[in-house]
Amino acid sequence: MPANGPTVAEAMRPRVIGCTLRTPVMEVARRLHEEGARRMVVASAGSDLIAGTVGELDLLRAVIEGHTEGMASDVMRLEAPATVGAGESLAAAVRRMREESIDFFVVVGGSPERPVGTLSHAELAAFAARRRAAG
Amino acid sequence: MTAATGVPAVPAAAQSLGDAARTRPVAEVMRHGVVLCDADVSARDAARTMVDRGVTSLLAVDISSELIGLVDEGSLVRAWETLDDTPCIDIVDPDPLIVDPAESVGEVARRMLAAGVTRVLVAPPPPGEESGRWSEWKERGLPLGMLTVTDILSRLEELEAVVRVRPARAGLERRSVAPWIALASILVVAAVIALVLFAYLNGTHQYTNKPGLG
Repeated sequence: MPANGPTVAEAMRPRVIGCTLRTPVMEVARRLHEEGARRMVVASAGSDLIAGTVGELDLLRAVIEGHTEGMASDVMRLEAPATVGAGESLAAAVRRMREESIDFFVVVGGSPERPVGTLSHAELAAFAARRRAAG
Repeated sequence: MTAATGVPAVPAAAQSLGDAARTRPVAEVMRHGVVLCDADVSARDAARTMVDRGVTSLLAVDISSELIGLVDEGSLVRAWETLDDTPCIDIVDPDPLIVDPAESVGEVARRMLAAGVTRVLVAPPPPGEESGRWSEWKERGLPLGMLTVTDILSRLEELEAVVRVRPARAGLERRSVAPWIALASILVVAAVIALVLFAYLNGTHQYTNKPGLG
């Protein structure tokens, strides 16, 4: 069923920023900074399977605990990120963020379904800034 | 909230990147200055200001310039359905974490992690006061700036270079005066001289003993 109002696809970052389990922590920090992203997905090398995610606070913990010379697998969160469909209503996705305290979605689409983007507070701010009507 | 603790110096020979990052004072890593917005502007206008100014949070002030609180990207979620009609004052964090510029990055990082926040305001503490709640701090005027996780992480790269170059240089200096290099050089020179002498003497001997000449 088509979404009423803007869809997730209109606001999402249209690609998935990711790294492998063996990516150095410093490289993860560098890429998050370069991309202006808050979190990235971690996958096994040569696989689309998401093993976890690494966010800014995970990297902050690495700084505190002295793990900055480790790998993404040392600092990542193991739980699977929340997912949302690219064609779903953006308003509904934001409602889920608010009600379930989610700050990062992996956006899935296509057939067979696969990750096509990400949605976080940063993308919402950028979307809100370029829209006149309420989303 | 702690009072001023003095500026911890970066150790002369930091042992690791983590040490170098943790012992820096906030004042060396923070982003100086804050971007203000009127507490009455809409949440959407606040979003535009954040994007235009390249920041992730704004300090909301009221008409009498009193500080009201902090608006960040996450605040927008609270008013998503009414972004054009919701004033910033309704979505601000009225009690943001605020730290002293003299505190170490490591100590502040711990507090950020404990509070689950990715940004803190930086302001000097009121002199002689034990308490440091936002309600007292904001009486002292504008904060000096902000410190975000991004600021800390982006400085890691710079610190990494410092930490790695130091031992590399030290090693280079040691190698330049290492006795085995001098000894190896002497041996190589001696070997070359010996070879030349051997070749010369051997050639002369063969020449002088060559029969049938004359």
